[in-house]
Amino acid sequence: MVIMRKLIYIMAAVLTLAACGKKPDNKTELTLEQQLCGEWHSTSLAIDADIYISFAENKTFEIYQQITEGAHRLYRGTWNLEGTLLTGKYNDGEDWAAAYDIAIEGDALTLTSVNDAAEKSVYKKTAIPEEVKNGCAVVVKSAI
Amino acid sequence: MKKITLVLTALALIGTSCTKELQNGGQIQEQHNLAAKLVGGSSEEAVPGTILVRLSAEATAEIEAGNFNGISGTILNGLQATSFAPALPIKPKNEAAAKKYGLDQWFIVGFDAQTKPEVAGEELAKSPMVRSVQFNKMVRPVWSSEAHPLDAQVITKSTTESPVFNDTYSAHQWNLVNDGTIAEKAVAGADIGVKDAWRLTGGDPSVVVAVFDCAVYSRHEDLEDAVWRNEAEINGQTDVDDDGNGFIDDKYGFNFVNCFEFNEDYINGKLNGQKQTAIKGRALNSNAGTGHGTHVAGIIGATNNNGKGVSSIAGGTGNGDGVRLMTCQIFEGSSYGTDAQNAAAFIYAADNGACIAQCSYGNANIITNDDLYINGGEIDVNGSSVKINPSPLENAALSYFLDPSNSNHESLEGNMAIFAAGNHSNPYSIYPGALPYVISVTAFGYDFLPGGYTNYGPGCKIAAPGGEFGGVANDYTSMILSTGVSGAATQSPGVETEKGTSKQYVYMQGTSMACPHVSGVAALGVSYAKKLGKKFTREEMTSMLLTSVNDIDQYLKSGTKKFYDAALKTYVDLPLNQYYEKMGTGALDAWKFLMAIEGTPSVMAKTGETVKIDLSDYCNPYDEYKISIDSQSKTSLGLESDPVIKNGHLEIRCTKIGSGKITLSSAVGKDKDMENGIGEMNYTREISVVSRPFATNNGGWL
Repeated sequence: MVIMRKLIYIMAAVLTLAACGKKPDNKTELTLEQQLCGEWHSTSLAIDADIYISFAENKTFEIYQQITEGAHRLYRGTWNLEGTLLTGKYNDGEDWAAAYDIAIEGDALTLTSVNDAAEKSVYKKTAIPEEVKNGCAVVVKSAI
Repeated sequence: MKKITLVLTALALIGTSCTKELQNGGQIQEQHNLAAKLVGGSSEEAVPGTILVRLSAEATAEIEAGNFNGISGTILNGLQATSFAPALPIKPKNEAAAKKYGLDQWFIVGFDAQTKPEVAGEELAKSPMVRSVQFNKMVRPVWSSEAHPLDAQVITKSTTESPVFNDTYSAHQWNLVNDGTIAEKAVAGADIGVKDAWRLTGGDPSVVVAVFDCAVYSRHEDLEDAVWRNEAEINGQTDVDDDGNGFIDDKYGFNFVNCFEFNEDYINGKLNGQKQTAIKGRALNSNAGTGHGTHVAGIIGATNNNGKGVSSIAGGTGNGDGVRLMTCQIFEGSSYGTDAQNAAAFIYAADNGACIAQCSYGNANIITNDDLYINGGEIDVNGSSVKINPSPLENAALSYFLDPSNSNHESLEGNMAIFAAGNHSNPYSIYPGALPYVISVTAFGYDFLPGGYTNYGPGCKIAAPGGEFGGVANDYTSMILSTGVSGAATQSPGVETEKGTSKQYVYMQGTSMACPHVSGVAALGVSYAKKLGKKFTREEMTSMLLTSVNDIDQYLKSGTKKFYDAALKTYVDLPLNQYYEKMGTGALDAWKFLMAIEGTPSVMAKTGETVKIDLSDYCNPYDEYKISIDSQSKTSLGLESDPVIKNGHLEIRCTKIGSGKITLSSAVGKDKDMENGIGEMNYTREISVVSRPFATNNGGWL
């Protein structure tokens, strides 16, 4: 019985170590592009605004932005990442106003404009709330 | 004897105080004759045997205190009066507001119809207690020529865009969605931009629009679910005021035409001044005339997405979610309501839940300023003096309806009233629409050009589709399609579909049709505000409405248009520049209106550069604006000079990253060529400017 109990402790310890050891391995295996994919919410912007961005694996994005409007506005388009340089184009054909150097630390994404380093914004990995998606007006200028 | 002496003493004091008040006010000594007290000129339009008087506040107070016989006996002395009673048969619910506008001071005097109104008025004016005398004239509809039934067999053209709703004839409604294919001359976008707006809201049953017109046909297949329903009366007893609102059997509204005469106990009563507890009108009659009211109502709120008939602006999405249409019948065939009856209709609308008054009617007289409308007078027309019949009682009742204390919707503080500009091709709006606190609507066709019939110029506030007959027999596609009644078909040429049934749909044209487009969009806006949990004052809502427009003046700088003159049965050329900057702020756009309701729009400006921002999404940028910006915003944006508007663009140079709000202020409707002419309506638009080191043209964040 004592031997049995020791065996269980040992097995539990091994499993625990194995689980702990696997986590950093997985993290290092994710590319920057894979880490970028997902939904992000602004935490630090140059002006007062509320921005959600979704980067999908098929290289499309959705931006739900609310600056002074009563509801979020939805913009859609495509994105591309080369190295750490992120670029994009809206569905109406207009390019993003800038290209961004991106950095991801844990669940924080930092976009720094290559045009002006002062334009730096930070986002946290957060699921876009349904009320933002549902309450969002149709795309205003950027065609769907 | 003692009692009589006391009464006479009281009357003497009333007369004295009345005169003293005027003297203290620095005004001229009061003259007790008709010339000094008549607010109006000609009695030609007056209803025989009745005249309106406004008593002094003191005399009114005496009557309220119970001294009716004393007051009436004195006032009516010398006139063989048959009746004397309050002009409004039912006491308004909001007594404070009624007093505020003097509604309690108006009385109607009945006398022998053989007696000329001037004679009666002269006698009444002798009394110091009579403040003013008004002929009890009839109001006029803005008739829109005749109605032409839809003939689905003949009409083959239609808009190519897929209709949003499944209503049978919606493809023929260029006024709602115009992609430019309905006719060779049609211009894409010459509509009200409602297609996208429907994705946000289709209306809300809590929004009640009172239709001042002929009765709305409540059993029309496309309106029966949209009409306002007074359930207590519908489920109540005949000839009983089941809901106690003072109006008997008002199931879907009330017929005010001749309603006082109909209530002989009231009007020919016992000179006792007592208001009835309830009045009974004639049954609502939608069949007399052209079906004008039914057509107007269908534009606002015919039920959407029911697989029948037409689509409407605020008729919901097919889920019982459209706005509701209340009949305030002031026309019945060739019978029109009087000033007093029309005033009662405004009281009814205010007291029974309407937040928007849809009024395709007006005073056909040439009235060139607000004072003439309210107080009357004479004007010179081509060397001849013309007497103007004013409408002080109607104006008082309209003011009661608009008063914030009578607000009838949780999202709107102060009700709204919207009028047709008139179909006289005159360079000014008719009244009451020209008043600075209501909206007057001009009309354009599917080519964005003004209807040849439309009034324009001072008093006009905004333009909307009114259609225009192109002169081609049996082709009415350039007019406005909406719900109709059988009465219309009897006047109409051409092949008729479903004549005389509840499935009738007809074309009509006029500012009468343009007006309900604005009422419908306003109703849609109130519905959307409710959905967002927002509340606006009437002034705020009006400002958003007047700035939610597209530039129409770009089509009016030069050239001519062919206008089919139905009377001459030929085409005439109209110079377009006569309409330039005179159609109001621009062409109504429902989508922009809902966006304005949603919140303050933000525009991007690149820091450190002078940028030109297109303002056409937020207002008509070619209107004249005064720009104001507070010091906090200036500091945040680092503005070293004030922004300006040039060629439709806001030119601004921000030196700092930040944001701020600018306010554009303007006015519409003012008669710039006449001192003390038609007054202006002020409006504003707020825009947020965001300064960033880089900015997209489409406003996207990245």
